[in-house]
Amino acid sequence: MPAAVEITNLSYTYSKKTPYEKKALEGICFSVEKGEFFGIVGSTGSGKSTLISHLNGLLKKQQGSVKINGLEVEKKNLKAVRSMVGMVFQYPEYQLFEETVYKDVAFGPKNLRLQKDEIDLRVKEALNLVGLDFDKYAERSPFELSGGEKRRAAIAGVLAMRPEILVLDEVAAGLDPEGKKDILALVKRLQKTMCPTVIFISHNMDDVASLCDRVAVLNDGRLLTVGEPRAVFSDAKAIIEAGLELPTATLIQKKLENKGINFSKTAIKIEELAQMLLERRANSVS
Amino acid sequence: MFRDITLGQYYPANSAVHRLDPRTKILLTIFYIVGVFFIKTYFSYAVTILFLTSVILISKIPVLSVLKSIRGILFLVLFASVLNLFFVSSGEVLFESWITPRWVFRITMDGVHYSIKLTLRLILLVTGASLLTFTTTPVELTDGMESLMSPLKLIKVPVHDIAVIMSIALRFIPTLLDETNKIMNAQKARGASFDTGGIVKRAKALLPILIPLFVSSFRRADELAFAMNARCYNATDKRTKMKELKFSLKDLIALILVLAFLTVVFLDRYYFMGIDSLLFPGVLRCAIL
Repeated sequence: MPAAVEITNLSYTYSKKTPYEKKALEGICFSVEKGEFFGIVGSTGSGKSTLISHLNGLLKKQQGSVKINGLEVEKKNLKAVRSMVGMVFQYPEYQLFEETVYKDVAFGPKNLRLQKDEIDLRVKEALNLVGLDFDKYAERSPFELSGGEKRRAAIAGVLAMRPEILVLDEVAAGLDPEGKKDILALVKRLQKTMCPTVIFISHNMDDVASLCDRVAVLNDGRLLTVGEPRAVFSDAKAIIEAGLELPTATLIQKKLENKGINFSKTAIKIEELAQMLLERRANSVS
Repeated sequence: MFRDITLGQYYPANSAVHRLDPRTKILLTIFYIVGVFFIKTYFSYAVTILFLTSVILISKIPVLSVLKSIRGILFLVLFASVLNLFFVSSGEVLFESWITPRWVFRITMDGVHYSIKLTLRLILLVTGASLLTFTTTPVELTDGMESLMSPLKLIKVPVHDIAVIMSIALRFIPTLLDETNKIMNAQKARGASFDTGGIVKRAKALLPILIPLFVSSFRRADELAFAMNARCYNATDKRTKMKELKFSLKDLIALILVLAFLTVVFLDRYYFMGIDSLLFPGVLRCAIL
């Protein structure tokens, strides 16, 4: 069975042969298995956006290969690839344009040239998935919704394409804590119900640590490491050198270690750290 | 696709042309354009090409990227020169064919010369003018314009406001292009296609880009106005500048060089015309040149 995403030796340079020339990606190799929750982290300008733009052929490949479910991303496969890969860009609410939420969500399925009742079905399904009540929201203008609702509507627009692979770029950015929690819960739910493979890009290492099965770290257009979050974050020095932060739990653990309290393994979630500290106390009491 | 648009095409380099005062560059570009319109002979065209090429070489901009600016007017140039080939009917006849008893298809020597000169003129105009935007940042350009237009303040023209509006507009072109790109990508990811179908279909396909773009422009304008207000921006007071414009020796030298070039063109037009009449006897009788 081919991997959901297979990237080999991908390189990309912007504005080639001008004074603005900039290498954005260099020799990137990794693959994402089906059913994986895969994180991509990296500081600003590390090439994350360039990388995901290759996943559905928004950028034309210069060098290397990108395969989606075994299908090479190239001009003749674009339609198939784009129906397999759903992209939710940063601030997706800025792409809303129709008069009603219904029409906006139906934009994708319409481009797939589906029948009217199939479109209807998918819009209902997508709105239902993101937790917007169809009867209440379908006929409203997307521009009069609240920030969080707008973002859900925009995500519904991507889900209506029924993608197998969902790519999320900073999906929780700019939301209040409540909205952020809801969106992350939604993403988790989506992985279970609709899009088994999720590629999750975030600056928030706590989210990455708690959600992702594996993480890829980009630095300056190069792939620094790929692995399980615990393994990746246990090399604190490399993470900080890549211009990133550690998850809160790992950071606290590091500070405690500096004070002479040692741990057997790296904690990446707050609950884990709490558990480890409780065990410690229990041990020292007995 | 938007990377091809040559607007705000500033090419960073450290050359004498780049360092000239923007006011000098604007004025000299206007002089140059006027000069090109006065050219009559091939000799003058040769002089102009030589002059322009040396300016390009001094400015350290790759000749190829300057020539690329012609691409946009290529169709216009071709259209105009082919049309003139057919419609100029004076001079020695090269080719003639009577389509109907009243209609004649005729190509004459004058027409050929006129077409060649028109092509040269258009190309020289566009490359010369684009050299200004290649060597001057948009900010310098608006500063220069503001300074040059300042006499208009006497007749109550809001020169400063116009300059601010212009520089904000220029400042936001790349931002909006970026935004357009993002929105296009988002809609493409939802299966939209912008380059298939007939004209009506393509125009309709633009709506999913234009509407979000308008919405975000208004949002940006609002935010910018708030931010400027919050920092007490006031257009009526006398404002100082971070970079004051100053004329220097370089500007004087540039002025002298351009004036010398103009002198050659004018002298050639009104007094000499010698070399051309040797090379192409009879060309200069052509009334329209």
